[in-house]
Amino acid sequence: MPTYRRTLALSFFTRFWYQVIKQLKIPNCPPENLHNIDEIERAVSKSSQDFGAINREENSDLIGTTNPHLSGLNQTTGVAKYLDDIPKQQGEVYTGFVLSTKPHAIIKSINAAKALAVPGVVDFISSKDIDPKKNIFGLGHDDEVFASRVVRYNGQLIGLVLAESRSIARYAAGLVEIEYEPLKPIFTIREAIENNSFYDLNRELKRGDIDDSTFTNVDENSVVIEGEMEVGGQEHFYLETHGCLAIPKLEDNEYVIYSSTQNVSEVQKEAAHVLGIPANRVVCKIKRIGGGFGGKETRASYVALATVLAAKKVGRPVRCIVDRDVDMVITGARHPFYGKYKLKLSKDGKFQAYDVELINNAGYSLDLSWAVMEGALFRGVDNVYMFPNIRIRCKLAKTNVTSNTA
Amino acid sequence: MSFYSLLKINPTPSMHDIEEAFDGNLCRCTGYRPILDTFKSFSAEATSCGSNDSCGSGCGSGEKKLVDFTEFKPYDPTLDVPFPKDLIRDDFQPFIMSKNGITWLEPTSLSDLLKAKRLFPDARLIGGSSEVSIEMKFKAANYLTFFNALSVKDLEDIRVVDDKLEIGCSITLTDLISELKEMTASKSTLEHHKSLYQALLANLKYFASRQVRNFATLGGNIATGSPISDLNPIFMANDALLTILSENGGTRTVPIRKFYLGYRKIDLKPDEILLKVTMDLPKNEMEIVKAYKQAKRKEDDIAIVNGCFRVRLVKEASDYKIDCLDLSYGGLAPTTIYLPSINDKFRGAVWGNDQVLKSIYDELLALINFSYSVSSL
Repeated sequence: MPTYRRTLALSFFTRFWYQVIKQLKIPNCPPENLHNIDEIERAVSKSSQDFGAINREENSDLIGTTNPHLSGLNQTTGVAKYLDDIPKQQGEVYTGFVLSTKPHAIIKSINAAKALAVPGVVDFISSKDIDPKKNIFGLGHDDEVFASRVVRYNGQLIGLVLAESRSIARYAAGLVEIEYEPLKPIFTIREAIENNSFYDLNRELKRGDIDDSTFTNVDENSVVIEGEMEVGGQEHFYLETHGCLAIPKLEDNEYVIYSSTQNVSEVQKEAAHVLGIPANRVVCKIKRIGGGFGGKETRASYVALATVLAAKKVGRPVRCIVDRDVDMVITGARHPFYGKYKLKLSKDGKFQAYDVELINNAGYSLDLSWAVMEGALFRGVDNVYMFPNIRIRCKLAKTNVTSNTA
Repeated sequence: MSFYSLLKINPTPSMHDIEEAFDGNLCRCTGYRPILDTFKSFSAEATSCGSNDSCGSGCGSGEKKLVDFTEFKPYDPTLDVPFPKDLIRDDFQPFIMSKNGITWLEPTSLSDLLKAKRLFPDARLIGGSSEVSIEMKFKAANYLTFFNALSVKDLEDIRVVDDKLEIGCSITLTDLISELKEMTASKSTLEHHKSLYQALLANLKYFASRQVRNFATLGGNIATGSPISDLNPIFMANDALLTILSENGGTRTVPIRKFYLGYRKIDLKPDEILLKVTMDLPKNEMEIVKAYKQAKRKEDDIAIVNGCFRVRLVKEASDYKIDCLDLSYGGLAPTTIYLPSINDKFRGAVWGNDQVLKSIYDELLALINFSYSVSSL
């Protein structure tokens, strides 16, 4: 970034230099230096969409026709209801997040006394309130709803303050004191390689005749291209952030959960597990979500489980809507990838052998990182091409960042 | 909501107005095309498909479309929900409102504001609260007393006095833009003055988003002291003077080049307010001002680096010699920076000479040689 900033500083001045020459018609400047020095403004956009290819009246088949989105009219007229549009429930309390401020550390103590003293604060929930066996969730059974002994990324959920209003909850959450004993964190894929920090899921996919010597025995009829590349992660940026409303039905120990999730059955199943009740006592509902893009495929559970555990503890409906800044910190994004490749081609351009090593940054827990790697393995690397000899090896980096997801 | 307000202000928007009104709206699902197409049906410039000219894809040729705008009921302004009369005020009365320990003051005259500022030195002066709200929400600032800066109408003037441009500090950025556009278009405006107006407009165009510009004030931007303020480089390059007022201290002026003491630290006492910014207008057509900004995207984004440069040239024989050269940058240091040594070293150098350009590069590289990453906030 510093280099880029300096480059910008110089290029601004370069533009100024030539713009002044152009404006004052100062002679003897090569005309090519005066091209493209003015601000490039985006023109008003133009667009059209042609729905005329298929005559909808003659063609009863849906294929090839364009139909309005089923709830498009409701969404554009504001009729559509999202999670936080659900009216406040009788006795509802709101959540304030107590999050780890260290990427990797032992939790020495949690003191919520100051938060609990704030008028309007109802309760505080952390791992101490939960049977350790019930505090576990996630595809790798390696995620904790509330961090118990060690925090493994900056932003990990340690507890929730429950209060009568959003502002009280947020304010009081800031008063919870956590003592840490810092441990060494690993952030990037390169750091994971240096420290050999991987999940135990190293896989190899192979076809044909290929090993390291394939690329060293190169005769005059073939060439080898090799290199490495990195792809950064990406925030899903669903416009509706994660959220949950959990309502305990005290009569038969039942719960109704509204979760902004792409995966209601998983939220139901995991909620039943953490609550220690059969799944048929948990009803999980969602009418629609305001975008998910994979970001709410499994990570919605994180928010929903914490909320429903809080509802169990206080016996009141609990609403948890994650603010954008918190959402970006606590929930996973799309994976950063690192890849090394060697490609052997014949002189006439035909593939002979292809060797790829892939590593993704899975973060502190497994979640969907293996599924994402499988996607790269089965669909990403060879794409539509036929490689007679191919070897793909992959690893998942275990790091102290948020658990990256679909 | 953005479009509703646009139609309220301008019932016959151009396509450009429509796109500009949306520069703070993000879409993550569908894409901007269908959204914009819908609103373009309100523009007289648009044809039925939302395109303003023939695009060769069969548009307007009678082929079937998903939506035919002619099927829509025409817009009927009488069906609009009227703006509540009680909220329209033309006589501003000062008042104080207090609840749960939070106090809101609306002084409507400058003298009341100064008195209030003396009595409540910790109070925050709010225009659009585009900065103070961030401090409260994300930086846990616990402010309890606020003044409405927009209620004092004396602070909103923009005028040209004795070849100087004066801008009142509580003018909103949207108002500043429309005033500057009017001044640029006016026949009575001197051609060489426009250089400064256009530099201001260049960076105001991509300053935050329309929604923020509608409320954010000029004074707020100066007082916040962001190192990537899009306006401060322009004020610095043009050696702006800040007029500062307080009830006890009266009036004082500070050159903006000396106003920033450190990262978001400014030379302003708790009982003081910023009254106006004053800048010399370019003296002749040989004095040119330009401003630049680079962000990750054009609209609704904070700058990576921005800058403003002012040069005054004098013609000697066939040479255009530098009489003064003022360079200011944001995004390169904890404050907006002004580079005086450039002016000292290159006075008399010839503009257009490649050797001079190269020496300026060398000097710039020496001056902005930081070895660590600069905070972009």
